[in-house]
Amino acid sequence: MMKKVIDRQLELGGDKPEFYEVFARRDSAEPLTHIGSVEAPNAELAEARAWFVYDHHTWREMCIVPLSAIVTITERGSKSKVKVV
Amino acid sequence: MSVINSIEDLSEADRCLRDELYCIADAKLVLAGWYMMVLQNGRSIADFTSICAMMQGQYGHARALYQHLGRFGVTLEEVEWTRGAKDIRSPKLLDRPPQSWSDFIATIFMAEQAISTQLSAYRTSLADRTLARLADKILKESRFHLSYSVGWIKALRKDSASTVDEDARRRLVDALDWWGDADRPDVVFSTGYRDTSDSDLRDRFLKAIGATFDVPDGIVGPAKSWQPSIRRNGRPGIPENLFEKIGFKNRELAMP
Repeated sequence: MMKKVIDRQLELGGDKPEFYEVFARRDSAEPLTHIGSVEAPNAELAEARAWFVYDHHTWREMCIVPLSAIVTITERGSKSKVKVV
Repeated sequence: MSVINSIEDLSEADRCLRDELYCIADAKLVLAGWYMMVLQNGRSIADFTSICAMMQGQYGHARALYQHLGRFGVTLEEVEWTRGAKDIRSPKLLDRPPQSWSDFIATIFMAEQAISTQLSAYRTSLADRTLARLADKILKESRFHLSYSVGWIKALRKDSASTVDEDARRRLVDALDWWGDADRPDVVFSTGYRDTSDSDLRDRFLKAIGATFDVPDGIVGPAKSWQPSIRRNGRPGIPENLFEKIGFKNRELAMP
């Protein structure tokens, strides 16, 4: 049987995946809290993945921030990620 | 609201609405089957989880719509266990299995968009408030299904060898088979169950598709054999091999 050849770029697209940090709150009294992160090649896919992966609550508000947009202050120069609270 | 026990008791408007809801629910049933079969092709854990969630969402929506069909005398027994391949009223678009990952993405984008477009016309229905609320809830949940496919289309396009645009062009012809001749009577619209006519919904669908893909000029209209009760041309039903995959199995083991 002929071995299937996988073209990684064709299958995954040309974009390099990026981390997006996910923040959410269950109601307006709660602070917006970091609940985790997803990896995706663009914001649309990150939005869908965040919504489906972190579905353990009925969130009133959820948003995502690309990790690259976060300016670190205390951890400047190190490669630390945003940590789940 | 009275419960109907036989299709003969239905008015023409209710019969047409029943047919259309059957088509939408069956579209969701078959689309759920597509997600089920493609699940293991998820490109990451998050992708796998997303496909799983979309599958679960589509099954849930299909069953909620089937339950609503109870208003027209339809039973879950009938929809889930007594129908065969020829009785399923899903769109022609979903008859042919995905030929590649990009074809899968292009097809689910078209199918999700088509179903959401049609359901959007029920959100304001004063004639059936339960259906209006159900349509609104389904649309809110389906938004993320569309984000998933749009995100993938953008990602795939970043590779110059991607076939996603060709796949979409091919699938668009079958997707448009869901809307019939603009001149035929549209009873569901004229009686106020839907707030938009079928021909306007077809235009709305094309506009929505056009935001992501180039829609070619001179798209051929529906054939004369288009039947509103199944929302497709030609013979009713889906291919037997597709039904074998998406049909519910082992009735004897089904929980009551």
